[in-house]
Amino acid sequence: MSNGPGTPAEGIRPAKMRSPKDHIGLADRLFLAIENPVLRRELLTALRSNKAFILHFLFLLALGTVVYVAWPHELISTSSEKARILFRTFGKGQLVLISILAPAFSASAMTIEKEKRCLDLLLTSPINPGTILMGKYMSSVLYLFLLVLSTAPLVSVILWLPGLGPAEVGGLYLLLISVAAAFGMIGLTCSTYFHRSQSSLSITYMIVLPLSLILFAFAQGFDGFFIIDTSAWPSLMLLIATVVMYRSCHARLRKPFDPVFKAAEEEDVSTQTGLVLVRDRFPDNLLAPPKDDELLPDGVNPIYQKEIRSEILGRGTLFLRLIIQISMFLSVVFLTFLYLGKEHIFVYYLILFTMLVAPAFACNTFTQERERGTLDLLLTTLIKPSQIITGKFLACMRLSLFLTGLVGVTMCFYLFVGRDEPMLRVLYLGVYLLLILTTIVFETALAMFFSLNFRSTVQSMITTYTVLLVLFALPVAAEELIGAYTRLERQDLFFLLFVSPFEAAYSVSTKTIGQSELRQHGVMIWPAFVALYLGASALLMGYVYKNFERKALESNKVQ
Amino acid sequence: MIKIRGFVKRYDQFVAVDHLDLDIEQGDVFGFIGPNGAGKTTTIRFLTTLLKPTSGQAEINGFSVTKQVDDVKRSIGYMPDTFGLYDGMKVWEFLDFFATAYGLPRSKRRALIDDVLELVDLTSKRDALVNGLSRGMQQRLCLAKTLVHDPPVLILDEPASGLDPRARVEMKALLKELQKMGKTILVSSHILPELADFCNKIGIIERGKLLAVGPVGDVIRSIRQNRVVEIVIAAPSEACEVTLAHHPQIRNLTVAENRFKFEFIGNDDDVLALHKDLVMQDIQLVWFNEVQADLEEAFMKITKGLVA
Repeated sequence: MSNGPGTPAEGIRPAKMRSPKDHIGLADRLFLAIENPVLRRELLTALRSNKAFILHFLFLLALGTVVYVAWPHELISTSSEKARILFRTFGKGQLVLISILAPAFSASAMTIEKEKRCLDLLLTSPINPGTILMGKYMSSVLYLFLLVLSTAPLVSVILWLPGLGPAEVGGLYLLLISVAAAFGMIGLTCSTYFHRSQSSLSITYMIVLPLSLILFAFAQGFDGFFIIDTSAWPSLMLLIATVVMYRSCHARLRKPFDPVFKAAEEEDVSTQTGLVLVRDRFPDNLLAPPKDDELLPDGVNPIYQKEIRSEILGRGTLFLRLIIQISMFLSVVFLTFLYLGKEHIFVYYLILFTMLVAPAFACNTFTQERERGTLDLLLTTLIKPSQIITGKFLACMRLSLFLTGLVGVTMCFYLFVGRDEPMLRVLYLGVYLLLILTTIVFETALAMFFSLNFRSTVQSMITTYTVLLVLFALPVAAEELIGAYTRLERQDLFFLLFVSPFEAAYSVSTKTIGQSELRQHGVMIWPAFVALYLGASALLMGYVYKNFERKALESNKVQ
Repeated sequence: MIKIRGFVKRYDQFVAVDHLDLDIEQGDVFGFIGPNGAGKTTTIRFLTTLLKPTSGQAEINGFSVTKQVDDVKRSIGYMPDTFGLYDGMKVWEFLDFFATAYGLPRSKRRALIDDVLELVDLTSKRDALVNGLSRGMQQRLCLAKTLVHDPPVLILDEPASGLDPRARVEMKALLKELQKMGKTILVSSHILPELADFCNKIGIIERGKLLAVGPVGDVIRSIRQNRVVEIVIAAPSEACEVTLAHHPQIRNLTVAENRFKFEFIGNDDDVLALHKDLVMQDIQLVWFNEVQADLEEAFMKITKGLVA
């Protein structure tokens, strides 16, 4: 009796099922393990330009400045307490810098491969997903490790001061390495799950920044936070989280990727957890109007209509749903400050939120049209450049205002729980809203400016975030540093303070407005801030209007 | 309808297009061919107002490309070689957006959209999302977009690139339909036999210079100076081979069993004389034919495979 097809003949053992790994020889495996080709390529391309060296220089310069400013001027033998303060300041500085840099390196690692349609090439090569993932991960975090470890000479200088020992230094480096590893992995995880770098970067920062704030608060609150006995615990938790995230990324990479985006209309709402976006329901319809069979009305700006009808939810709702859910969760935490009479801290949170959200939507205004190949289609129609720019600006503003409004609507509780006179509460609330609006306008204008001047969305986005951080956060850090370690008073720093919306919000707060030391100088920070940034926004948008055609046509290639 | 005079485009020291002159009459279907990097797309981008020339000028439908930009935009429908579509749009929304972008009133738009969808055979996909369309359908949708404002001139850069054979045949049929509608079409393509099928004029460009231009037949004849004749005989014949090998007007003879192919220098009478000579020698001719030259052969002959 013959065997049926597929049934092994008697005496013949069925072939053992082979996994894809079995096809790779031992020599190949060794080669891939030692000479990870993805890692080699990433490092080669990353180090080919001088950007890495410039960044490294700026990193060390910033920390060197911290050490220089905070260096105790008294006799060394009597300043062990000051030495510890200096060391903590140095550690906090490094923590902040690593938190800012880690997502920039890893959050677009996989999405870039997807955007360039190279991921399939990698996944169909003998390189297994683990090697790809490890190559991408190591290339992102190795540079961060290098940054961290290259501060050793600065630490060795600090060690000259009394009161510091190996426990502090070891604890600091353990924590920093763990932070770099975990935050780099958060970026890589977002990059593995999202299709676009823009979404991945924004969500990574939304996760990383609160975490770094928590770590920063601990470092601020506990003297011995950087001693190894204490720092080992958060380090351990971060490293465990890193391993869990790595496993999750690995599992995701083994599933096939669908390169076609699903628009909101195609999504299966029943499978979505948490918040669901439905176009014809309030307040979702404020974000994107419901789709109907109606043609566009006559005389409208077609670009604005295109943006709000199709682009906002054109690539699915996951990104927006995540943003809304994370930010709403955090807003509940920050709401506590309203009850504590520190409403300006809630405003800080809203400003931080706009810093993440507004550039995320505006930094691709022109680069996306270029990358997608639709810019030529637009430029050969009768749409005027001014219509394109205005349409895109208004759509970005609508989106940012909607999301900020959704999170910030709880700010209205201030009218009821605030500790000032009722009329003053209304006035202060109005000023806070004006500050937030000004911030969003500037962030949108800045992101559009970079989107016009850069070729890729990732470049535009990272540059926008960097500039915003420098403008908004640096004055706060500088004020903290200068205030703590020099004899300068707050009013002496006016030129620095009115550049930051955080400082502007602080100047409005009830604590300072009545007895504002700045009033003694006849000026207040917040009006100066509003004037400065509305003026700067007008200049940036003026540049965009003036140079749009030239820049758009510059993207032409030689054929 | 399209007139280019002295178009030069330089990028620093590099000359992408060098003093190009071109005339395309109303109703012409002009095939613009050349190797990659020859300057086709640079020329097309100049005509579509997307590129400023180093020098030279052009007119479309009587409007200057550099000075009357809006009038030129109204007169042309442009389909780039690579293009993207807006992911979240339905097919009709995509066309409605571009119809609005051309300032068409809402009262006319619905009928126009239905008409162009029918023309490109996408009526059944009216409510589909554009990112779900196949490559061929996306190409046809982009063509529909170029037609939505009913321009007299169509400029199509590689409209058939990346399409499967069926989609290419459909695209060709569509272009023939547009030709019948009286549109002036400038089309660049690498698929030369198909261009020869529906173009009445061609221009061959290499390294930014126009090497040949004119009606398809004229260009081919001017490039191939000699006739190519093919003979098939019933049985192998040494006499035939000797006659042909020693004939003073025959060049480049190739022999494959009883099949002979050669270039012949001479007029119709000379060909007749050769035929008579072979018959007189009792050579049994099964086939005696002049091989028609094709565009591909002409292209290979005139271009040197140099990339600008």
